[in-house]
Amino acid sequence: MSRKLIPSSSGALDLLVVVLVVVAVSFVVYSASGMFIGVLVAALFGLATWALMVSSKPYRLRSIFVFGLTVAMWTAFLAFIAQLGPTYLIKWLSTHQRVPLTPNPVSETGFVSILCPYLLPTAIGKSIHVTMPVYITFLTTFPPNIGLFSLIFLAYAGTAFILGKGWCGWLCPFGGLGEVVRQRHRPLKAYKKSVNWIMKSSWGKGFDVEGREPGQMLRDVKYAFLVVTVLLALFYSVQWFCVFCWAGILGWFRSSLNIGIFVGILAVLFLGLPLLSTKKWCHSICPVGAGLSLMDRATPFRITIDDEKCNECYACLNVCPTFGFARRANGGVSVTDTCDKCLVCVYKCPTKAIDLRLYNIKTDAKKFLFPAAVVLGAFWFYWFIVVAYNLVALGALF
Amino acid sequence: MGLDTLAAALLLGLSSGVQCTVTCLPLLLTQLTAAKRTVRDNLRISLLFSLGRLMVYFAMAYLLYISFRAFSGTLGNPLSESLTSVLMGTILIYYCVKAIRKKAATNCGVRTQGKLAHLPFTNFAFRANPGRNSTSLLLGIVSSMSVCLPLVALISLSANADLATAFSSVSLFWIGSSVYSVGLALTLAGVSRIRIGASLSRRVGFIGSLSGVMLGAIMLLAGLSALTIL
Repeated sequence: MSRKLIPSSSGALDLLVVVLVVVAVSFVVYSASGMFIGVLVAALFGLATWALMVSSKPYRLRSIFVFGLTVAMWTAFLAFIAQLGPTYLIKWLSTHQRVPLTPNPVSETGFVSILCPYLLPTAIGKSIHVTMPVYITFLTTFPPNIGLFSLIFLAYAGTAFILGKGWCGWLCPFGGLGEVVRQRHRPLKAYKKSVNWIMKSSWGKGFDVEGREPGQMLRDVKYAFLVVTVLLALFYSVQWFCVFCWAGILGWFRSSLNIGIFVGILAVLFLGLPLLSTKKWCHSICPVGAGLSLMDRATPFRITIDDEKCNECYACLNVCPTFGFARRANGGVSVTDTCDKCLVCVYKCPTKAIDLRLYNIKTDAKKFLFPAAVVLGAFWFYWFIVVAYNLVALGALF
Repeated sequence: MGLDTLAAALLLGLSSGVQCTVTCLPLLLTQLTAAKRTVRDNLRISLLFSLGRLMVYFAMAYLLYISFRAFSGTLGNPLSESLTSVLMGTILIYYCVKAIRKKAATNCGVRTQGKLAHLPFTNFAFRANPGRNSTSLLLGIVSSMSVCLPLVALISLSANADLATAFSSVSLFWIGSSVYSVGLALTLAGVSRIRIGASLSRRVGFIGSLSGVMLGAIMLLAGLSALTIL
C-alpha cells in the first residue's frame, strides 16, 4: 500500500545532495538574522526534507510541515498584534492600505502590515529593525518602487508556477489551520442536517457540498470570489490581497455594524467550515486558491492517473481531503482544479494508478516537489520564523 | 469630467461584458451563424447589434439622469448616492439570483418564437431575419431593454454625474462591454465549426451571476451603511 520514495527510485547519494542543497539555501537565507538561527533553521528544514524523502507516508509529514509554518506565522502575527496594542492596531488597520499608494509611506502612516508581501525584500535584506514604542521603521528601507514590486511579483509568479495549487497544500498558513481537521471526513451532525435541508430545496441543485464529489457549481464559487476581489481591487485601486486579507477588509469598513457583519461572515467561512468538515474554504471560497487553480494548468507538477491501472475502486474520492477527483461519465476518475498536491491519493491508491509527474514525463516527481516545497517554505516564511524564534529565544519580539 | 469616473465606466463595461455576452449568446449566435461568416460580415453584425445597445443606453442614461435630478435636485447628493447604491445592490442581487436559479429572462429578455422576436415584457413582436442589418440593430435595441447588469451600471453612471460625464461614461461602458461580443464574432469568423461548450458557457454564466450577487451585497451594505450615517 505504501511507497517509499528514495529506496525505490533513487540512491542515498541523491538524498544527500538534495538535503544538502536545502540546508545550504536555508542557511544562506536565515544566517542574515544570526548564525545560530541560521544553523538551527537549516538543520530543521534539512531534517524535514530528509524525512519527506524517506518516509512511507510523506503526506502526513506534509501536514505537519505546513502546520508548523502556520504556527510560526500566527505566533509571530499575534505576538506582533499584542505588542502593537489596541490604539496602534486600530490606526494600522485604518491606514496601512495606503502604504503602496503613497510615495513616502512612512511619513504618512508609519505602519505597514507585517503580513504584506512587500516586506519580503526588506526582510531578506536584513533591514528589519523596530524602535520603541512599537514603531516600525523598516519601510524607510523599502520605497515602493517598480523594481521591488517587480521582484515581489516575480517571486510570487515563480512560486505559483512551480507549485501551482500545491501552494495551498504545502505553504498556505490559512489552509494550514485546517490541517488538524483535514483528515476528518465526517462533519458535525448539526452541520450535516442543515446541509441536507438545503440540499432538499431547489437551492441545493448543483451544490453537493457533502458528497465526495461536490458539484461543479460549488467548485466554481471560488472563481466568483476571485472576480469580485479583482474588481474591487481595481475599483478602489488597492492591492488585490488587501481586498480579502482580514486586516485589509476591516480597514474598509468604518461602522461597527459592518465590522460585526464581516466578522460574522469570516467566522462562518474561515473558522466554521474547516472545523466542521474538510477544507471547504480552500476548495470553494479562497480567491488565491482560485487564481492558483488557473495557474495550475501550467505547473510542472501534475497528478496523473493511469487508466490502465485504475480499477475504478474510487478510493481516491474518499481519501482526498480537497475533493480533487471527480468521476468520469465513462468510468474512472479525473483530477479537478481543487487538487492541492497533498499526495494522499498517490500513496493510498491500491493499484498505484495515481502518480505525481513532471508534466507528463514518466519520472517520479516527488523527489523534486519535496525539496522545492521546503525551500519555498523557508523563503516565504522567513519573517515569521525569525520573529517566532525571537519570541521564544529572547522572550520578546524586538 | 473625472478620469476616475471614466476609468470606472470602462472597467464596469469590461467586467459585466462577459455576463452580457453569455446571456445574449443565443441571440448573437443566431445572427452570426446565419451569415456567411466572413470577418467582415460578422464584424458588421456584431457592431450593429452593439450599436442598437448604445442607442438604448443613451436613452436610458438620459432618462435616469432626469429622474435622479428631479429626485435629488443636486449633483453629489449624499442621500441620492446612498439610495443609488442601495438600488443598484438590490437590482443586482435580484437579477443575478434569478439568473443563478435559471429563471431570468433568457436571451436578454427577448423571447423568440420561430422567426418572431418579442419585445421584453410585451407581446409585440417583429420579424427576425438572421443576417439582415435591420434585425441585428433591432435585436441590439430590444435586448438592452431588460433588467440586467448594464442597467445597474447605467444607474451608477447616470445618477451622480453631469450629463456630459454620464454620456461619456456610458460610451466607455459600451466599449468595454462590447469587446467580448465583437471578439466572439471575429473568432467565429475565423473558425470553420462553432465549438462553444455548453458546460463552459454555463459555468461562466454562473460565476458571473454569483459575482453579481456578491457585488450587489457589497453595494447594498455600503448604501445602507451610508444611510445610517446620514
